[in-house]
Amino acid sequence: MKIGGYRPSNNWLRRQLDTRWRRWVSWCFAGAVVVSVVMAAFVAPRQATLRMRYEIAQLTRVVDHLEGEQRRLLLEREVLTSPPVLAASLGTLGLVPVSPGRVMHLTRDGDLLRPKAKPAPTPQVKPARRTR
Amino acid sequence: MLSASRLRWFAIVLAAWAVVVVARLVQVQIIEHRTWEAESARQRERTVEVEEPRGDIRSRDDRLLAGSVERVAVYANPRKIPREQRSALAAKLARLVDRPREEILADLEGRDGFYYIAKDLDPQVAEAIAKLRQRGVGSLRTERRVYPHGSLAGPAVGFVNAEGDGQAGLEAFYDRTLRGVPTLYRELRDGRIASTSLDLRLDTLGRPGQSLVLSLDCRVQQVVEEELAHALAEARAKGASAVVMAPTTGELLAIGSLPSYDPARVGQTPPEWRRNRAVEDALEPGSAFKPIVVAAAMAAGVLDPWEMVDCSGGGIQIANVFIRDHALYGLLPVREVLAKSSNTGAIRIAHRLAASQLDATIRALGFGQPTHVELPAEAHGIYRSPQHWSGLSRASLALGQEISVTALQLARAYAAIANGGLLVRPTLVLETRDRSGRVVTPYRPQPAARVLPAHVASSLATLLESVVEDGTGRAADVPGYRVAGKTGTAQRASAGGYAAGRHVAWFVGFLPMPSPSLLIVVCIDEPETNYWAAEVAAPVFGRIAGRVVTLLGVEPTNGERA
Repeated sequence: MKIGGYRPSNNWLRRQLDTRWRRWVSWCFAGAVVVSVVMAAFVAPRQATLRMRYEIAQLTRVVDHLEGEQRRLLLEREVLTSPPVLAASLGTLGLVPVSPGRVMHLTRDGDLLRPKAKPAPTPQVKPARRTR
Repeated sequence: MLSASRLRWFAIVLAAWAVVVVARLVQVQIIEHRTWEAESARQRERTVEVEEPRGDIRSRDDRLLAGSVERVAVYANPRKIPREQRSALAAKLARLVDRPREEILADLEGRDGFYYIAKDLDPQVAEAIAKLRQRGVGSLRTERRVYPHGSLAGPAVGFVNAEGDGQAGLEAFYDRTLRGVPTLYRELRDGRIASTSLDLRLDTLGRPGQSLVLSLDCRVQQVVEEELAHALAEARAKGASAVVMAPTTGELLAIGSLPSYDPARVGQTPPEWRRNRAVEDALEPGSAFKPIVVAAAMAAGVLDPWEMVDCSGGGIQIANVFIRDHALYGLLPVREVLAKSSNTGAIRIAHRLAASQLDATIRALGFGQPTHVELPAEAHGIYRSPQHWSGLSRASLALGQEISVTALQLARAYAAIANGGLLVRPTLVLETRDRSGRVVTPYRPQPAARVLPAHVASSLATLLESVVEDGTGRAADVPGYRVAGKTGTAQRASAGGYAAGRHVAWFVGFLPMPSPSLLIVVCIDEPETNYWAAEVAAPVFGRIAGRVVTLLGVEPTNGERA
């Protein structure tokens, strides 16, 4: 049946809203917060560890570099203060090895002891044998 | 249509085939499982060995005698580098490795497979290479062995080859200790046996090489080498060697051998310069052996240190050979026999001994046996047992013939006289340390064996003082110090006899008496200008001893208060 000028309408109906979603959202949010806190509690130290590892790796490289540099300098010093190098420059510096007769020894008793020189050795007679 | 019998046969053949297949599967998958798994792993995996840093060699005064510095080698594999990238890459590499760009480009175009672009580069180049992020180009950590003191103690320290393997001296003797344990990685390979570099797994963690701390004192070593070089030039000798030892412990303070070499430039020196004469050259000791015969006679109780020995006649007839003396002597006390180095006296003393008694002392003092010092290629020396002796042998031994000794053997024997009769083991290495400086193998002095009665050793040491006081060794005197020692001039033995005009001059001595702390052996090989030990070797001893006592602060025995 068709009634002219009449259009059916349900405007008079009051909307039946489901308000339970708010509770669900709240629970989900609370859950997310709890999970985040728990995760943060677990992740934070690990992140710190990771950061420390990275820093250690960086510092290890620096240490390696500095150790290499230290070793290079050490070698350079060894070369410069090497006994043969020093001996070679003695002449230039006007230095000569000290003979034992010119050295005085400080004894445990606190005395100064000078080596007593002997008279110069007499020249050797050259024998004519192969063993002596 | 197949008949029933044919079908049956067909089924039997199929069943048999199935049995064979299953049996083979059982064999491969179960019985030979391990073998094939290992074979698979062998094809799939590759072990990459990364060498750990080689240990240092340090002297007792904490000088670095040998050490390693980190270097870098840059490699390329042109197969993995696209052709269009090579030109730009060559330009970048040229700046980093300091080689002409054209040369690098030519190599990249011409070579096929892995090759080294440059070696021995600064470690910072490795970082720059890594930043290039270029496939087919990389860097490898390498090492270069350095010897900061050049040829100082070169033959004792030794050298390594291009691969880092010890070839001579301590570098060879302690190669495994110095080398450490390499770190092993397992690397996966793809189907074309090319390395994937995706999965580099640590297999065995390595250990850096340990460092050696030597008993050598660089200052003493320098003095020894300086004086030997001086003597070598003065006497125009073929070679010279010297040993400075602490007679109570056997610690070697210096071991010199000239001509020497710089281990870093070993390829530029003749092979004969590379040997350590003090441990590798066995030579007749000449009269330096007379104290050994005297020690044997005193130990056997057939010689009193204060008795007179008949040295008359100007010589002595032994087994149809007349052995002459240096001069006409009469009766001489034992101290004069040693001081004047009388051949007749020494032979008469030797003939008081039975062959077995003389042999026992010679062997007890370590002749004919290696000293077991920590150096490779040590000569044992030549010494025959009494069953091979002739009628002349005891006389020959009394004159230091029919026996050959190394400078180190002679040092060890004289150390027994100097220290009261104990045979010590010469040692070069005091301790080993790890990379951080902690002691791994601490110094443990080897227990010394008594080979001479204490009274014999001390009497003989006193007798040997006369050699330096008024005998053939006067040039070995050190003012202010009581020195004991003995000269020895020997002819160079050659095939079947003695070579004319070729001699060896020895001086062995110790100071300060009566408690010697230094023992020095000097050997001048084939001096040309003058071959008498009294004039060639004894002065070298005197100069070395004089400088070493000053360096080490040894108190004088004949001192006057200032």
